Amino acid sequence: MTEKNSALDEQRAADRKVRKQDYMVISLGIVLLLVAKIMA
Amino acid sequence: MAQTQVGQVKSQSISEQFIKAIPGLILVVLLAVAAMWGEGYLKANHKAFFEATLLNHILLAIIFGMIIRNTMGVPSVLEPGLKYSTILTKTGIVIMGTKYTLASLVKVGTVSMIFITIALFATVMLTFWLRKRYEMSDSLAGCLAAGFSICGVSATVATGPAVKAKGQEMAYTIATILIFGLIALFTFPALGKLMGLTQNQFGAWVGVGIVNSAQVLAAGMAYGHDAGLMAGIYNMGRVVLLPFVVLYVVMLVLKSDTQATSSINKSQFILDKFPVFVLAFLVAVLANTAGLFSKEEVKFAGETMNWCFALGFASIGLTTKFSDMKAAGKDGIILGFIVGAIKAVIALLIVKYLLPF
Repeated sequence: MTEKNSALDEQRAADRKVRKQDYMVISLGIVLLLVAKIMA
Repeated sequence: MAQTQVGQVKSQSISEQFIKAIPGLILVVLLAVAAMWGEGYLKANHKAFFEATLLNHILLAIIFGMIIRNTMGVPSVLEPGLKYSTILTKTGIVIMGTKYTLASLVKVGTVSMIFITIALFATVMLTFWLRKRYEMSDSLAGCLAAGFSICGVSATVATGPAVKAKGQEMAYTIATILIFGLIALFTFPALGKLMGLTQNQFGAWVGVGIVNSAQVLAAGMAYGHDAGLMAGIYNMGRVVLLPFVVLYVVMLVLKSDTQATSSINKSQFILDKFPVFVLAFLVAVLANTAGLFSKEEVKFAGETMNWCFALGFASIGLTTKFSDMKAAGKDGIILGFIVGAIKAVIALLIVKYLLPF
C-alpha cells in the first residue's frame, strides 16, 4: 500500500513539474507576443 | 506574517536560481548568436554548400553546443543555465502559432490527424509486439513505446512514474530517443531531397518519423520554412494526443495487474497529463486568424521564434554527451531503432504516395 502511494506521489510530482513548466512557457510566450506587438 | 516569510524564502530561491543560471545562459546566448551569424555567413558566401547541407541556425546551434560539450567540456558553474532547453523550445512553438490561421490548420486537419493517430498507436503496438524478442522489463518497454510513438522526452517523463520505471530506465529511453533523433536530424533532410519530397511532404514525414519534438522542428526548418511550419502542425497533433497514448501504454504495461488497471481514473489521468501549453499555441493561432497581428508583427514574432529555437537548441547541444549515449547499452537501442526505422519508412511511403499534398 505504501509502495503504491509513493508511486502515485511520484507520478503526481512529475505531472506537477511538467504543468509548472507549461505555465512558465505560456507566460513567456504571451510576454514575447506582446513584445512583438509593441516593438514591430 | 508567516506567509510573507514563506513567500520571501520562495522568491529568494527563485532569484538565487536565476543568478546561478546567468553564466550558463550567457554561453547559450553566445552560441545562438554564433549560429545565427553562421547561417547568414553560409547563405551569403557559400550558397551551394548551404543548400546542400541545410546547415541553418538550429543545426549550427546544436553542432556548436555538442562540439563544446564533447571536446573541452562544460564547467560546473555553467550547468544551471543549460536546463532551459524545453522551456525555450516550447515557447518557440507557442509563438509559432502566429504563423498559422485556423483555416490553415483545418486544411491540414482531418486526414493528418487520422494519419498521426494511427501512427502513434501502431508504434506502441509494434514496440510491445517486438519487445518479446528482447530482454527488458515491462516498464522499460513502456517508456520506449511511449517515447518512440509521441514526442520523445515529454512522453517518457509522463509515462515513467505511471509504469513504475526506474530513473535509469527513463534516462536510457531518453538517450535512445536522442541518438535516433540526432541521426535522423542529419540524414532525413538529405533523404527528403533524394526522394524529391515537397516542403509539405517533408514536414509531415519528419512530424511522424522523428520522435523528439525539438528535433522534428529542427529537421523541418533545415529543409525549409514551409516544411518547418508543416512539421510544427504535425508536432502539435502528436502533443495533443500525448495523454491518450500514455494511458494506452500504461494499460498495456499493467494489464496483468487487473487491480492496478481498474484503479486508474482515466479522465483524471488524461486531464493531469494534458500539455496545457498547447492552449497558448491555439490562442496565438486564433489571434492571428482574428487579424490581431499585422504583417510586421508576425514577422517580428517569427524572428523571436527563431531566437527561442536557437537558444533552446544551443542548450540541447551543450547537454548532449556522447559518453551517456554510449553507456546506454544495446537491447533498448536496437528495439528503439527498429521501431523508429519501421515507422519512418512507412510514414515516408504514406506521405509520398497517399497523403493529398
